[in-house]
Order: sequence, then structure tokens, then C-alpha cells
Amino acid sequence: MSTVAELSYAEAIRDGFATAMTADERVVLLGEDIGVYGGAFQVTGDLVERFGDDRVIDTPISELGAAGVAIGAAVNGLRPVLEFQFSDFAALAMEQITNQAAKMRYMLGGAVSVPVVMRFPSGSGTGAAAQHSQSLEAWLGHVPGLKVVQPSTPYDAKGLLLAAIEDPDPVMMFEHKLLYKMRGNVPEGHYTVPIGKAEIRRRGSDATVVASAVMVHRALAAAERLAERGISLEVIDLRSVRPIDTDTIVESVCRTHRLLCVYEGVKTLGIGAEISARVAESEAFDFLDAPIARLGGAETPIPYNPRLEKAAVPQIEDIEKAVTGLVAGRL
Amino acid sequence: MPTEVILPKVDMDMTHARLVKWHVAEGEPVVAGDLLFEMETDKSVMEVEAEADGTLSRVTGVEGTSIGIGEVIAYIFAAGEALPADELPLDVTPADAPPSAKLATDDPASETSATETRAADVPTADIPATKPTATATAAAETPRATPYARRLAREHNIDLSTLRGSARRGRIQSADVPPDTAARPGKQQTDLDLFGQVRCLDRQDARHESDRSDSDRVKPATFLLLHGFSADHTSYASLTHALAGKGHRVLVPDLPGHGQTTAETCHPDDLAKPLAAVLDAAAADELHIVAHSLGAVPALQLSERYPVRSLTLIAPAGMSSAIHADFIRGIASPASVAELAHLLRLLSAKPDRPDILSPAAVRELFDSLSQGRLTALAEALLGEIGLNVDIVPALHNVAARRPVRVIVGGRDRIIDARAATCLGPNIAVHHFPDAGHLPHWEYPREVLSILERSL
Repeated sequence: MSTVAELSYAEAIRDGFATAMTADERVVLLGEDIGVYGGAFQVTGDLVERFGDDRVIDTPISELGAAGVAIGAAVNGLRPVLEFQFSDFAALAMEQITNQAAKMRYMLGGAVSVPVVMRFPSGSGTGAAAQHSQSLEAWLGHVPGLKVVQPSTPYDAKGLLLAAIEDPDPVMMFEHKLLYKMRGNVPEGHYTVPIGKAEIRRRGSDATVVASAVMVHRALAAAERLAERGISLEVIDLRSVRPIDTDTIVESVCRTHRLLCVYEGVKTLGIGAEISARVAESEAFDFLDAPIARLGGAETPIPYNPRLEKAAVPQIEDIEKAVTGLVAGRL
Repeated sequence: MPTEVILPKVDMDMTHARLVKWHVAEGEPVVAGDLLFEMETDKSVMEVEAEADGTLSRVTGVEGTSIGIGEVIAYIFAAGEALPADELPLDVTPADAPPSAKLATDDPASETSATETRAADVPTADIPATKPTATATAAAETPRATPYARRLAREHNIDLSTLRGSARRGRIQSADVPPDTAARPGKQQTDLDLFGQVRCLDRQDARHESDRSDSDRVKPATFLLLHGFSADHTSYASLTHALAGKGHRVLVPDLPGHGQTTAETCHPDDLAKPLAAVLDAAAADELHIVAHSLGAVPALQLSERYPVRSLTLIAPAGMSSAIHADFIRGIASPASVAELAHLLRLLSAKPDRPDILSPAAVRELFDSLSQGRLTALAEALLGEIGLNVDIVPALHNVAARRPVRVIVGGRDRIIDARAATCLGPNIAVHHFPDAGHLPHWEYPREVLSILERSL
């Protein structure tokens, strides 16, 4: 009988690592300053003391090199998990991620698989400016051969991490930096959250918001305020960007007749564009009672100025306003 | 350009309709909105209104004949309008049209030069060009509406152009479509078949195999849907539609004392008797019974007598003596429309949502209930401490032999839904925490999927 502890999002991931590393000695961690320093966001913490520096490995400052090592280790039978200090640095490792990890199984006719996990602290809100604040999940979500997840709670962070480690294919896990301190109930020991399955966080009848990562919490806060005004909002936590759980979204829109996509990545060609198109292509089309709406990141690099930084991504008030307009038929 | 009078498409699968009667004679003036003609479809007779002002001309639609949908059956000429050249009937085409005429029709400027004389009488160079104007007219006449509003209008046979849109730029949204067909003036009552003394909807749609994937193909079954106290077959409208859409035969009787069935009843045990005629006529070997609330009583009686494949009871009455007695008495003889509206609100789990019936539908129901057909039955239902009906022994008896499901709403204010937890291991209980007394209204998709599990 497993017990439940209240952990932060970062602690939940660490707990997931400890669970996986205890159960399976093929699981090794790689990343810059993840050993004695404990990781840029203190996710790995004391794991180097518990599992040794041959399983919690500090890499040189070369994302491209570390990604190559992790992918090679995965092909050769290990279950490596690579931490990037910021998701923005994925750009440095793009060749390894998109041309090697994503395609190796396909191009070698299934002779090998690449069970690697890469973790990306992402998103804005920490004053880290344009090169350390992006939300690039849609970039990687565009590549067949990769799986992309975005946990929004400590429970999902551990469960999706364990699912990712066990998955035979490369899984990219985007962790929003604002969530690391968020606390929540996390069962001890092993459990998984399925990749590719969205979760309805709040039931409602007037409109559906599909959101991910920190936007889930902003949508839930907006739903609370809207409920006071008699508007009943359904909030779906996307959880997986690739594959997308179209069924859950379509089923919801058939009930609520209205859809708002909320995502932090740049609005144009983003996750919300894909979800909107899927709904428009589905049976839910006939149930739409208003145009599909999107709230996404501004068409700009993330500004350093804190007020501008806030203005560049959807906030609770923006969601509240958009849903009000959607339900009133003003869009 | 003259306005074409066509036979409109008012139903998804209609291809033809019968022209019943012209209300305007050829050559008479009409104003947009005037009743122009009546047409008869498989389902009803519809009145069609003129779409433009002018004179009804060139009537080709003959009363009493079947005509294809979209066919032009007449024209309405505005003052000064003539029929365009390429649509002129052969007998009036000028035989001596000069070669330049063809060129002239392609000149957009000529569309403004229509004269007051008939096309056949004027120089062909003045025949108006048709295409640009036709497109502009079509765009102006297509109402702006959301897909969901269009879907509702389609299902209820409502012409979108008769509605006013309340959303941005006059767009029609679902809220602008009358909530139920019962509330619409001049609605045609559904034709119910007569089985002995009982009026019963018997619906079986033609199945379009191409619509379905292989995995979707289930053996068609027959569903008998029994409504609850004070309701009628229309309470199952959406479930009927959904089941029929999957290729099943759906039988929905109006129980004795209810709806269009003329047989009366003063005791719950008598509800099932006249239904034997329905079951005999149905002669179904794959019969599934679904019953709501008081419908559980006849449903169980029938399940004990007929080889029923499965029985599903939705918010059944009689699991315990607990009952909202004021609801039963009030519904049986409501003092006013307002009282009835208050009582109906008890059915829903969501008091903050719009009422389950439109004001017009509540008035109609009030008129029907005021006849007092249900007062004797209501008295028989209510005893000293609560409900006089006990379905539990029959329920166990049936559940020992065939699959029985009970669907309840956690926020039911009519019966005590908690009684479902004491029914024993033979009965599957599906609990909707947020539903009231009408889970099949509040969660239609989920209830449909539960019913499909019995197939």
C-alpha cells in the first residue's frame, strides 16, 4: 500500500528519478551541473550522493555533445535522462534531437530504438529574458518520432517522467519554471501517467479551454472567477503535445459548443493552431456555437521588463475576458 | 434579376416533395413574407413564404405533383424585371437574335439596363447579365449562423432566414434557435402509430452503411423506451434520434393517461397492460427496455413476461419510499403555469441553467395537465409515508436472469438516488454525481454509451 506525500513539482521529479534509478540500474542522468550543484533548478538535488557520480553525470557545457552521448547511450541499452538548463538551449542540440534521436528507429528499419528522455525547463515569468524564457514545445512537437509532454502538476510530473523513462522512444519533457515550487500530493513509489492522454481538470458546460503547463492553472483561476458570474468553464489539461489527445477535446467541445486554446508559445503556428484545426476537422464542427478562439504568446521575443514580460503571455484576466466574449457571442 | 421560387430543402435526406397548393395565382402581386405555397414532405406539410416583392410569374410547378428539391417552380419579377436570356424557355427565345447579343450579356454594365418590357420583346442587347448579380444575391440571402445553430435548425426543420441573430454581426447562435419544436407555433404533431389502445412512436431509419466504420457496426436491436410520470414520448427525443441514427428500431409509446394515448389509468400497475400490443407488434427478438422514473413499473412487468435482452432503469421510482410528494401532486394538477415551471425546475440538477422547457412548452404542458388525467394516478402513487410503489422484489427477480442497469443522478430531487447503492450485486449502478432526475437529458452521450454496452 503506497502512501502519499506532499511534494513540490521539482521534488516530485526527483522522487521519480529515485524510484526509477532504484528499480532499474540502466537509468542514468546527464546534464550541466546536475551533480554536486544539484541542477540549475535544484531538481536533481542530492541524487548524486544517493546514486553516485557514475549515474548522475555532470557534462561539459556542450548541449550538442551531451545530447549525442545520451542518444548513443540509449541506443546501446541504457535509459538516459538528459537535463537542459533552459529549454532555449535545445536549439544547440537540434541536430541530435531531430535528425538522430527522432529518426534512428525509422531509418534503421526498427533495428534499434532510442529510449532517451530530455528535460527542458521552459517558459517565462522569471525575468530571464529573451534567450531563457521561450516555450518551444511546438517546435519539437512538429517532429514525427518524438513524443512531447508538458506536466502541469507534481503528480503528473512524476507520473509522466516514469512513463517517459519506460517509453521505447525519445520523449521530450517540458517543465514550466514557474511550477517547480508548486506543491501537490504525490504517491510514493512507482506509477505512471499515460503519454498522449489529456485530463479534464474542471467540468463545465459553457466553453472548453484547452491549456497546458502553467496556463492550466491560469485557466482554472479564470474558471473560478467566471463561475461567480454564472459562466461554467471546462478546463482540459493537454499534458501531451505529441501525440495530442484529440478525442477528449472533441468530446468536450461537442458538449460545450465553444473552444478557447490557451498556450504560452508564440500564437502563430502554435499548439492552439493545431488543436483548433483538429476540432474544425472533427465531428465537433457541427457543434460549434462560436468561432474557435486562441490566446497565445505575443509575436515578440520575451521582454526583460517585468510588465512587458507579463503582457507578452496570456494571464488570468486575458482568459477571463476571452471566455466572456466567447460565451456572449462577441467574437 | 427575377427571384427564383424553388422547392426548399427542409430536411437532411429529402430529395422530392409534393406541391400541395399555390396561395398566389400567376400574375398576382406578392410581398416578401406572404404565404406562397404549401409543400408536403415525408414528415409534414410546410408553408413556404415569398422571398421577394414582385409579381408571381412563369409558374411551372403543378399542384399535386412531386417535384425535385431545388427545382425552379416559378419566378417573382420585381417591377421592370425580365427573365434572363440563358434561362428563357425555348419558345420565347428570339429566333433572330443578332450575334452581338452574346457579347452584350458579358458586359457587366448591361445589368443595370433592364427595361420595363418583357425579355422577349426587347432588343437582346439589353438582356441583363446574370452571373454577378446572382452571386451577390446568394451571399446576401445566406444567413450568418454558427455550425451548431445550423445543426439545431436542421434538426427542428426551422428556416434560418426566419431567425434573428444575436451574436456579432447578426450571426445566429444556438440561443437564437427556439429551444424545442414543441414551442413553435404551427408545429406538426409527430405521427404516432396506433398499437391497440396505445399511441407509439415507431422509428427505424434507413441505415447508411457507408457512414459507419466496420468497428462501429453493431447488430441492430429494438429499444422500447418508457417515459416517466407526466412525460410523453418527446422526453426521449434525443435518445430516440441517437439510437435510430445507429440503425436501431426505437419504440416510444405514450403511456396510458399520457400524451396522445387515449387510454386512461388510475393505478401504476395498469400502465403495462396496453403495452402488450406494442410488444406483440414489434415481435422483436433483440428487445432492450429503457425506462425512466415511474416507467420502471411497467418496464419490470414487461421484463418478467417477455424475453427481454436487457433492462436499463433511469432514476427509477420505487427503489425506496422516498419521493418528492409535492412534485407528484403539483404536476398532476398544477394551479398555475408558474407553479408548473417551479416544479419542472426540480427535475434539473442545475438551477442556475436555463429552464429545461421553453415558456411556450411549459404553457402547452400546463394546458395538457390541466385536463386532470393524472390526478387519480397521483393519488394511487402516494401513501401515508411516501411512494406506494415498490420495484425492489421485481427488480431482483429480473436481475437474476438478465442484465439490469440502473442509472441515477447524485443530485436527483425527486427520488432518493442513494437507494441505488442497496440494490445488490446483480445490478449495475451508473452514478452521475452532477445529474438530477434526468441524467439522459443532462448526459445524453454518456447514457447512450451505457445503453450500447448492453448490445
